[in-house]
Amino acid sequence: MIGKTTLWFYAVLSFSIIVLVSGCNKKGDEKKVFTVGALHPEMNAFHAAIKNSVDKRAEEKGWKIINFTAGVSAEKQLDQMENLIALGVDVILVCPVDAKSIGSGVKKARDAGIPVYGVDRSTVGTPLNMTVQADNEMGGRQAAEGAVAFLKEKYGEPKGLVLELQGDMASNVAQLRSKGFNEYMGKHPNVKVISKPTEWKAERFLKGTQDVLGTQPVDAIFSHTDVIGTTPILSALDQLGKKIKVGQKGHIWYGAIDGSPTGLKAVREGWQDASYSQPCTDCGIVLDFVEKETVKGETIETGPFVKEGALWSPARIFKADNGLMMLLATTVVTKDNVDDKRLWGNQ
Amino acid sequence: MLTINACGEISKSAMGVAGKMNKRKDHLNRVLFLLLDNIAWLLVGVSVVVFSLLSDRFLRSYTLINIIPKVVPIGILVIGQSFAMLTKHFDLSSESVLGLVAFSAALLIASPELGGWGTMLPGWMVIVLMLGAGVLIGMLNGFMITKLKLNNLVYTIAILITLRGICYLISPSSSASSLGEGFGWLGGGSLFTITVDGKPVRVPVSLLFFFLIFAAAHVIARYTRFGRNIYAVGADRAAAEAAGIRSERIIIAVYTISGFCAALAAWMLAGRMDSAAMKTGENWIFSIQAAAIIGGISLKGGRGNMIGAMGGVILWGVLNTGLGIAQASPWIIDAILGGLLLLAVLLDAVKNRYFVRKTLKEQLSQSQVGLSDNYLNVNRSLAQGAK
Repeated sequence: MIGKTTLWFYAVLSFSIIVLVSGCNKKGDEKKVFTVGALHPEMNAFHAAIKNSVDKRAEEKGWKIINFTAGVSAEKQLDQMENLIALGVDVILVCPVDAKSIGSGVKKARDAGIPVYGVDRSTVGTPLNMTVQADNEMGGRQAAEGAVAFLKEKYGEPKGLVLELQGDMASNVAQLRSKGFNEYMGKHPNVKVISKPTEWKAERFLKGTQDVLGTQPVDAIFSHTDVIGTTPILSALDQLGKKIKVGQKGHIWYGAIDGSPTGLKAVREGWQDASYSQPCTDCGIVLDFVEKETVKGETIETGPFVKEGALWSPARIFKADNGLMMLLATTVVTKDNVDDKRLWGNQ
Repeated sequence: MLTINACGEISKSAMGVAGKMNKRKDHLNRVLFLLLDNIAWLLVGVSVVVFSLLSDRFLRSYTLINIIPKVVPIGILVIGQSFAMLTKHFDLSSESVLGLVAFSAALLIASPELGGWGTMLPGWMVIVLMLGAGVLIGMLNGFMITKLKLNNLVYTIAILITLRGICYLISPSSSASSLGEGFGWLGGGSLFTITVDGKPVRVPVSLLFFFLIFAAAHVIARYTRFGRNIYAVGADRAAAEAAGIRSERIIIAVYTISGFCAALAAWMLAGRMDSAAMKTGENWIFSIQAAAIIGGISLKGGRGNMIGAMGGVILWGVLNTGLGIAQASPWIIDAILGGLLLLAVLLDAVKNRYFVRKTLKEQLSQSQVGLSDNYLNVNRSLAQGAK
């Protein structure tokens, strides 16, 4: 079938490509600016706050930043990692879609001599240079403390039934939030915890709440996120006729991690007892460590890290099995401090 | 109406001026259709030029070498899909077959700390299980579609949803990773390392494998009796059966190949990612269809070839990498890829109309009998049906 015309076609096509490409491949030397590549898993209020914080810090340092968003696809994030290597960036910041899958991408970057830092989430199994993230375990523990205090007041002793709506358990933050929460709850054997994974999907928060509260006498709800969780959870409570304000009879305790605008609004209006605010507007601090380690070649000391006036202070830096880890403290937000201007949900 | 005109133009008595003009017109048409048939390769050329203009980072060895490895799993699924489409069938389930096979393989290999079930089977055994599972699922699909006469589109969509559901069911709600170098060699290993500008660049095994598997698919489709039978069944199943081809067997075989390809792609992808999750391969079916159709595999069955399909896959890869490096917004990327699929379907429709007319003209011109002949009536109804 391959005739003369076809052969001619291919010959002309490849010849013209070679001519055109060699013609346009003459590039002058451009000034080298330190370039940061940042990989975000998705864009919502929370990740946008992180992105803005990193963008701002990079601008202050006069660095260039390239942002990619993976649309919650681990495969796409790996492709984007390779694109950043191809673009020749000097350092890569990553907030992995999947803590384990990103490992092969991290190895590729390291092969190309590019250091990789984690922001907000870390890896499992493949070490990074350093990760700056919220102390998620602390957030989970704070939530457990809040729920137990509520149960104590209600029954005179810590007992009852608590629903935990988990994030995507493939991410290490969800694992840590769950760990902090359940470790504290483990000390109170009369409190029963029902855990439902949601993959960070709104409809599964809705369904999880409806399914469990429709059949069992739940006293308290802990959600791994209020960015995604608060709206569906409150609407499920409403449908079940159990949406009752904080302090009134029959109120179901509700606490969630993040401290997003949605969460703070619910706290202000009295639907949510507490939000555990993440320091995501301060995640840009990772670039200070990039500058210290990668640009200046100094080592980062472990131990407590204090900054006066910052909500996340004192933070702690330590050596974990996935590289250096800096944990920024989470802040308990109740009706008393919900209008604090330093919270990212108010900015 | 059409038949009388066509007959008058081409009938043997009217040879002469009209014949010469037709010859030239035929030649023009042939060039035009050569361009249309190779539109994927043409667009590959155009986009390479455009991207080298947009970014000086595109024509680097690292970038160029890594364009194809990114789309190897999609490419293998396109091969399976193309075989199905050549017989005028669809296999929309392949992305879920890939997901389920890849994820269960990862669960079988990975250690419990890294998300596995704890069986920690050796890599080679899992590879055998994977390919076997793919073949079995494919055979089952083919059997259901031919023997039970289920609608292939709806049936494979049902399988698409069911298998993805099973992925979520078996999942310990976490991915599984670290599958070992032996297992990942084909998908993520490197053949050798070249040094460009003092920097080492790895040449992936999957780059070579990509060309090998497309060559194999091309040989099967074009140079074997089985391949010719596939085209015959796709072009006209009734005629193929009349000629003694057992079309049901061909269709079962085609679905089996598609299942095997899905398992092979699963192995490549799990190797490349060194992990798999319940979401592995989700929403790929759009890219697979688009690459096959833009590569010239006709929706009407029986037309297209594997070299064209390979062009479609490479175009997909070039656009993906190029738009990424040009830092285009993800929305623009989606719009461009969607527009491409639309263009492909349009071209397919145009080509189909042309070929129906051309066949009709040829048959009429060879016919020595009058218009009342039964043979012509058959063709007339054929032309009307195709409109």
